[in-house]
Amino acid sequence: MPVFRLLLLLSLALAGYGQMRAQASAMQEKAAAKAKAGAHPAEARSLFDSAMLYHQRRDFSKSIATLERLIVLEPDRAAAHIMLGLDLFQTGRAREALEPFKRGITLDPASVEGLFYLGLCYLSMDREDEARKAFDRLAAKAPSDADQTYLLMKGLSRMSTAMLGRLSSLGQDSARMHQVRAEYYEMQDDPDRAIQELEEAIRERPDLPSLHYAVGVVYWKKSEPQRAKVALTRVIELDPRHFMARLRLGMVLLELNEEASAAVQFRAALTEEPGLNLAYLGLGKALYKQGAMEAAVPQLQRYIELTPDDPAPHYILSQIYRRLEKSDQSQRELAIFKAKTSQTKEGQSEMK
Amino acid sequence: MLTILLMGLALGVPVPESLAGLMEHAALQIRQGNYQSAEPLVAEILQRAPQASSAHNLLGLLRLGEGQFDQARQAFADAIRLNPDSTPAHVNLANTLVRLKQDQAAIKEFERALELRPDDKTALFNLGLVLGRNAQFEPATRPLRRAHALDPADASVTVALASAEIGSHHPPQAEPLIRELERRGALKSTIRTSLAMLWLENGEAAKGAALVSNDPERASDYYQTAWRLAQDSSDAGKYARTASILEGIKGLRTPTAEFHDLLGSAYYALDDAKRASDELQDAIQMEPAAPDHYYKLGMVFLKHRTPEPAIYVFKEAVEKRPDVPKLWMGLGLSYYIENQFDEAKKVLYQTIALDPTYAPAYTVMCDMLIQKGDDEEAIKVLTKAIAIQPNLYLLYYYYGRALGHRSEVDTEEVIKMLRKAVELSPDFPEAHFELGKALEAAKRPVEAIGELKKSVLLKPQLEQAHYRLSQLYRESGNTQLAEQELRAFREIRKSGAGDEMVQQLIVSFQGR
Repeated sequence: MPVFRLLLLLSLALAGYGQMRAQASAMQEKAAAKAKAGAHPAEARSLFDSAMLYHQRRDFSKSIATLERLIVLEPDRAAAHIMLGLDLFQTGRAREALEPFKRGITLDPASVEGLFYLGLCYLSMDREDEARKAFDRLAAKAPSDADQTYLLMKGLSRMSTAMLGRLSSLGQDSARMHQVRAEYYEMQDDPDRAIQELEEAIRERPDLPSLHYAVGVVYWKKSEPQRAKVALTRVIELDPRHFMARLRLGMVLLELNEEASAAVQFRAALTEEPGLNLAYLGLGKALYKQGAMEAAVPQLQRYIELTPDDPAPHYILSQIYRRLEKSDQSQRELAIFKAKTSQTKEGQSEMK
Repeated sequence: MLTILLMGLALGVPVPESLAGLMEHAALQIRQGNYQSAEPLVAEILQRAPQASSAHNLLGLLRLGEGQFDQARQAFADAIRLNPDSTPAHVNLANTLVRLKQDQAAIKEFERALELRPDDKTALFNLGLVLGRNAQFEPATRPLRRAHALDPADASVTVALASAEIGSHHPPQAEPLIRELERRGALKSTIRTSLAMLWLENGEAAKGAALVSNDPERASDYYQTAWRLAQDSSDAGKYARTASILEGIKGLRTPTAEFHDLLGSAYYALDDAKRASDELQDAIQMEPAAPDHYYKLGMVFLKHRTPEPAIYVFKEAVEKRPDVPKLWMGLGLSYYIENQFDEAKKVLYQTIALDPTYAPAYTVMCDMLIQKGDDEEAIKVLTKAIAIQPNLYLLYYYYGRALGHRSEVDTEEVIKMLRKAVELSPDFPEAHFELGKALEAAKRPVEAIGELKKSVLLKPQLEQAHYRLSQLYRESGNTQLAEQELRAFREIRKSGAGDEMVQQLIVSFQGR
């Protein structure tokens, strides 16, 4: 079974598990609120109950308003933040849902539902790395017993198959089915068929930025930068806030030696997502390639701050300092580069 | 909503006994909405008593019920013609005019009815409502206060009066009425919202917030409306209102970084440095990677001529967001104001490298280079900048100035550049001033006077322009105007109103 399907299954099953957990957690919250009734206004408790009721009835405009009010009264109630995130996600506001989920998870790191839906939000915005991190954290919550983990995985796998069947029953030739097949071919290292499927999907749903993004990424991996540029530019036309597309496009433009345009894309990506570490690296490279040495340095330093294990920026910095005739700093950066490269190699050999 | 009452059954004109019974029956049918049954009864009444005002009043009520407003108006007018002192006919006519959207005529009718019967609660109430609907809140309070005094238990009257008092900016009068409604349990959700919105519109956001805070859905709607109003007020330059709204709704929802930013920006514009700084620091704490918060905080310090803390803020900012040109520009400007020219230059070059299209960086850089006398370097920067942004007026302005500082001045080239600046931005006074100076140097005094006059028209406190004008007038023999301009120059100099370009830069960059 392809790995991606397993991941899908795992996520879905944990979602069910998450719901149970959320209910249990809600009950605990209720008990806690009851216990604190003397100190806390009954209003907060009744607000939470009302929000839950609206949530169950899928009356999201009411539940969102109620939760926002509740959060003013009780900003540390994890379940309220997570439910707010859920309701925002359900109403197609994945971007807005991120903060409540993050806050909820900070308050309650054991929140399986919060982590699962946080991952889904990221996926819906093509933020694969962040989604993966959320799902990794989720998977880490699986039982440490191998037998139980195996059974859980098996159950999730069955559920994934059933979900795939359901998706298929909604239309064999739907854009999403083409997308699923494209993902499968990509996993099979067959980019041509993946592109074929994605092109079919785009014909069905030309308005979906994710499809253009996916095809752009496959073209890029296939070393067809011009085509990747076209696809990624289309994503940005459809969704100017799609910073992953801007990041990828920046990388493609760097490959095409269009450094000034690449810098524009990296900066735009960072405007949208200031924590996008690779965009600092890309911007640093773009400035370096344009000869703007002094301006490149702080970008690379910021990248190092966010990604301390990567040796690559130290090498670029050593080159920059050499050109700026700062030989001491150049030597120091080169030494760091070498040390970090050997650490990485050691790490790799240990893994082997 | 205007209340249409069935009136006019107790009338001045005597009618036969049996007719009175018929009229009561017809009135009952109208009251119950049985217009078809009422039709023959009213016809018979009119046949038997064609001169009875009450009969026409009844016909008017029937037509009003049927929604035939023009016919109703005619019938009530007939009733008044037959008995000009019929208060009910006046009230009914006024109500019909309201339905016909003829509010001014309706107001007159209500006033006539009240002359006849000053304590007619319905007339008082409806008059208050019509006046209120026309945003005449102060006049609306008078009839509504009387109506309220007549029947303090009438919740509709109390609500209308409270609304009028809010609209008239009489919070001390409005608040007890609202408390009274609250005590009686008459504050329904919709009324609560309407009153809250009225408080908001009348600059009392906090009072509105207090009314809806216990109803999450209403509170959410109110918050969103208030938030939009605060943003609009800020865009319109009404910063005191922005601050008041935001302070008023603070407790309705957990303030976001955007909230603190807007409030901080409002205080910044209001010159309340302490609060601006507090709010912007809260915004930074919530969104440590958002460049706008740092930028505005830095500008708060620069606006108050304290570059040291500004440098600290901008340094912090560029460490977190080295990708944002305006933060580097802010740092460069801070160094410039602190007279650390080398640092400023280095940072500003970095800014331009990061974004070659970022105009403010060129502006600060060229201003600094020209101030320092590095005209040749300024010209180099400007040549590159103009190639990238050929339509930016400031670049031509600085280019013209830098060329004018050369030992061997090509006056025509200077004039060409400054003319381009004026052409691209006709409202930029400094460009007219520099062009005037260049024209004066080229011995074209008439054109020079024209440009200098434009500059002082756009910016009367441009002291040097007044001085040059006085010189030119003196040379042309116009001593009266020369004296006038010299006086203007001396007054401005004495008052210290003449500001520097750097101060202008701070102002022009604020809020970007």
